[in-house]
Amino acid sequence: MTAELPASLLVLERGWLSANNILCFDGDQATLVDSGYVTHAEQTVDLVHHALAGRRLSRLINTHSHSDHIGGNAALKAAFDCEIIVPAGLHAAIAEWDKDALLLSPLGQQSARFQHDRLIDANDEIEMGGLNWQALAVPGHDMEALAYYNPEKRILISGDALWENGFGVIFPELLGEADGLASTQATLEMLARLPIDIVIPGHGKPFSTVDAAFERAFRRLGNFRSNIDQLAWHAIKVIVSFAMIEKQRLPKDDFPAFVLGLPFAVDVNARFLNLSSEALVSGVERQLLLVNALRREDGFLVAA
Amino acid sequence: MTTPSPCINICKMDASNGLCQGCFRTLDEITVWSRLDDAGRQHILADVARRRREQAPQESDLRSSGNSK
Repeated sequence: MTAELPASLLVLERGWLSANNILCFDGDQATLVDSGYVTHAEQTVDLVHHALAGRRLSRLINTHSHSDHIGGNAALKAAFDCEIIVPAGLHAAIAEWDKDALLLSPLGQQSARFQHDRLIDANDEIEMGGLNWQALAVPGHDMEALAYYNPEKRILISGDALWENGFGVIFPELLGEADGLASTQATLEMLARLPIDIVIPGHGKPFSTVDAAFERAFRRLGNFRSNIDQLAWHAIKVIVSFAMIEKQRLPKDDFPAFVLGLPFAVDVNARFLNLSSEALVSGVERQLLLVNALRREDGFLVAA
Repeated sequence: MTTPSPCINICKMDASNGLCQGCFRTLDEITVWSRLDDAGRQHILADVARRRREQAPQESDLRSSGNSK
């Protein structure tokens, strides 16, 4: 039946604004993988402190540098003085705090600046939770992202490269950059060749139904590859939805300016969809209401 | 079918009662969630529902308490 995680790993399952945080215990020390969104940082520190139960958080390691994975880095550093380790390809973006490269400015997201202490590169190995993990390059959603794989227990910490139902938005093409779709294909093919019993994703619960997840991911990717407008529209909805979750509620009349204030939504629309501003806003609103990502409440739009 | 997490992305603790303002769980309940079986999760959800009722009394409760004064 369902494979169980070793007792040395504890997944703090968060929501969508914050990615999951994975605590790996080694005696009286611990390592945390990913740190959530900045507005949740206080709770992240509290949760980690509680789960540490007297152990010391010695390291914090990231899968990639999106705001929902690094937002607690600064607060965790301040609280625990842990060493921060980031994927090598993100060195410059983080060191220079490049808000465009970190996608903070385009997506209208916030973070808290931090400095990393060390880099980890693809094919490096790291001990966490009494297990040896291989860093795997998983370009696509983020071209510099790493996943962490333990061959002994056949566990994959996938970040946003693979979820139970899909994967994180494939950004590169939408930003006019490198070949994210082909990279995602190669990444999924590489991961699908690994023996995996359990995936700890960046969002959602750990899952063992790995074959079904790959099947869904390949199908979804196939749809995006055959029709990139579908990816563009999906991405706009996800980014507006994320921004609304952060905002929580907004007067309905402010929604058009809110959507049109997200550079990514406007740019992707201009590059791929060419909808009028009105059609873009009303389309996003209608679709997010339809899937219950938004609801109407006394003249407000509220994130569900 | 696994019981889904009650997280609604508020993720802020209320110092006055030790509960998350969004999901009404304690730090301990959020921390152990991923390790619990369905029965354990349902138990927490029942507690959460009870805390929600206590936190936000129904209008009828407010009226009846008003009448009793």
